[in-house]
Amino acid sequence: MTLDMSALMGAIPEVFSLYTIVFVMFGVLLGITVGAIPGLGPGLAIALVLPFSFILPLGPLMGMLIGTYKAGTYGGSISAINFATPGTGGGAAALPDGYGLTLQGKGRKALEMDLYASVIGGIFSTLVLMFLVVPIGKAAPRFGPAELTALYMLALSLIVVFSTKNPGKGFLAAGVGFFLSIVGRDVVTGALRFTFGMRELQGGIPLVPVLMGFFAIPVIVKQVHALLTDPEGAGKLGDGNTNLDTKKQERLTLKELKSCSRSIGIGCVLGSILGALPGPGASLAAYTSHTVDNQLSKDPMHGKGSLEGVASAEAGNNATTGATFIPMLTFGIPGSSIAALLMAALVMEGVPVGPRVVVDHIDVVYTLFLLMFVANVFTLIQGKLLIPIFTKLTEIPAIYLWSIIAMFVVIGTYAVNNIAFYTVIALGAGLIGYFFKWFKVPDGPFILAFLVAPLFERSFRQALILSRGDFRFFFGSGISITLWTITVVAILWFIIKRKKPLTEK
Amino acid sequence: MTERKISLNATAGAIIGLIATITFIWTFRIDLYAEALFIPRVAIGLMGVGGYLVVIQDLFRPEIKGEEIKNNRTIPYLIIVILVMYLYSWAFRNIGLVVSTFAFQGVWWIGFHIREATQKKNFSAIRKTIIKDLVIAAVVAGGMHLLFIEILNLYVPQMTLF
Repeated sequence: MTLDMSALMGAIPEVFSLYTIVFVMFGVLLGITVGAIPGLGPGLAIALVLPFSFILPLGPLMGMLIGTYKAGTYGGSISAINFATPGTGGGAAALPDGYGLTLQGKGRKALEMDLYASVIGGIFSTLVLMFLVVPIGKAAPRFGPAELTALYMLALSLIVVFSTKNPGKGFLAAGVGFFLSIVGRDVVTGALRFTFGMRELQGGIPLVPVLMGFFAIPVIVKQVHALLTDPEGAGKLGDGNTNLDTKKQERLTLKELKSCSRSIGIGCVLGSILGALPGPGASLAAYTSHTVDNQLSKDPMHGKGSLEGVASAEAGNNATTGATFIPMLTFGIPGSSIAALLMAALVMEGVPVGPRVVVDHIDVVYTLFLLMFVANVFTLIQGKLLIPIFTKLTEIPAIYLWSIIAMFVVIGTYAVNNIAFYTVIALGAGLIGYFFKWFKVPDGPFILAFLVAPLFERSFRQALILSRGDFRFFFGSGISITLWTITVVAILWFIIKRKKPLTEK
Repeated sequence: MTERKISLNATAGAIIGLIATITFIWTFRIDLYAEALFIPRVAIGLMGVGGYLVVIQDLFRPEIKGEEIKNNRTIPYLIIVILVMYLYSWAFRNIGLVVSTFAFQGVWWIGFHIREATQKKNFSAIRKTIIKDLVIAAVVAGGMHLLFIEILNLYVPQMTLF
């Protein structure tokens, strides 16, 4: 797609007016703040400001909403890095490395890397949207059930084989994730599966409470144990490496940022591809980017406290923010719940979102492109200003901090949908997380299986229905054959890679 | 030759494998279409295979087995944390967000500080600490009300005590 310069020039005055900029800034502040509160993702923040569509013109309104969305996606990882309590599903992928760095006293570095990777991912995704909205938009519907099955199979195989040195524990983790994801109503027959007569489980097990409980509760238990057995030693997070003279943590250097360029690149590419497909979303993009980067990284701390891990996960997470708009702007299909909210706002502003929006409302489309750039710039500025405050939060004495985190987990899980049972789900996930930590079972396969299994099952069974049970249907197109080939090659590569060190030994 | 002793790791793997095997067999008695049970069976199968692989790896290839799993004795703390969180979840919906937050945080912090003072046998500053705890608990409770009820408009059943 070549740029329409007249439409671009037409959008500039609207986007760069003081009125619009103020609302973008407000949206970014709201997004970072709400995103950083466990359980409250950017979706809630957007829903909160959506009524403004009745009073605001298109530029300021979309600026505020896009700012909220982009900054909220970034904000979800702040609490994950600081307190091992992810604010959003996508933010959880940065948790093992980000929190690992916080424990080493490098929380500020992690937060800065998080911010830069998020902004770079966001800008890359916006560029992809601008230049590739038509080609990607055309390719997206070619992903039918058979192609999606192959894609999800690729994701699943990567998770299980890449995420662990111990395949047994990898299978176990993936099995638990698979099983929990299918609880509830069957997507095809409508029959209830493994709900054990509990009405609350009929709708399935939601992602955010599972992630919050799974990651946060084991850490809370560990900290409470430390407080009760050794109150002096419990102290503050990452005390050991804070510069005691200046009481300041080290900042991210340009060299460190450059050294993570490969990780950021992986996140940008995978996030943009997965974000363009309806369904997978930011969580899958973040986890896939982190997993792929983990395999390519030479950093022994990857997955335990590495800047590369934060960079890949967050670039992947935020690279979906522009790509989400691709199915919306090309076919009028919202690829996610947030895209649906943004689409609703556009419709309320009198812009009929559909296949002709790029033709009939090209000025609006360019306004959106520019607003995305502006929102990224303000996320960088405001995020940078807020990082010292976020770093300070980790210095709250442990005795106060962990009880407040526990309280946020309870209210945050309830706030997801105002359902008290979600807290019970989080507590159950905490129990699983505790045993995973204890027995050193990797969490990656569990989370990815939990995310991908429902999507995989839906595509797989749709394909079987369409083909009347003919399995050749799964290899009927060039896209699926390519994806299956990548899957097989990835598995073979893994086996060879795994054998090498043992042989050398 | 190394001593073949069944580790905690292998025991857990064996238990999970056994439970998964029984559950897998049980799925054939469930009144659901086979297609609806395909993915659940894959899930249970993966758990079973994973469990047995852990045992096999632990027993027959100890040179590549994972890190030794220790009995870390934190299960009582896990139970306490889950119970307290569940109680708080019940309390903020049935008593009121502000009162329950104030009470839970206050009790938690004061309890810790009294325990600490008892261990150190130093009660000189305990009164001041308790007052500080209560003030912070009140501020946190107020902040929670402001954030969740006033700003975010979270639905919480109306209670006499708020």
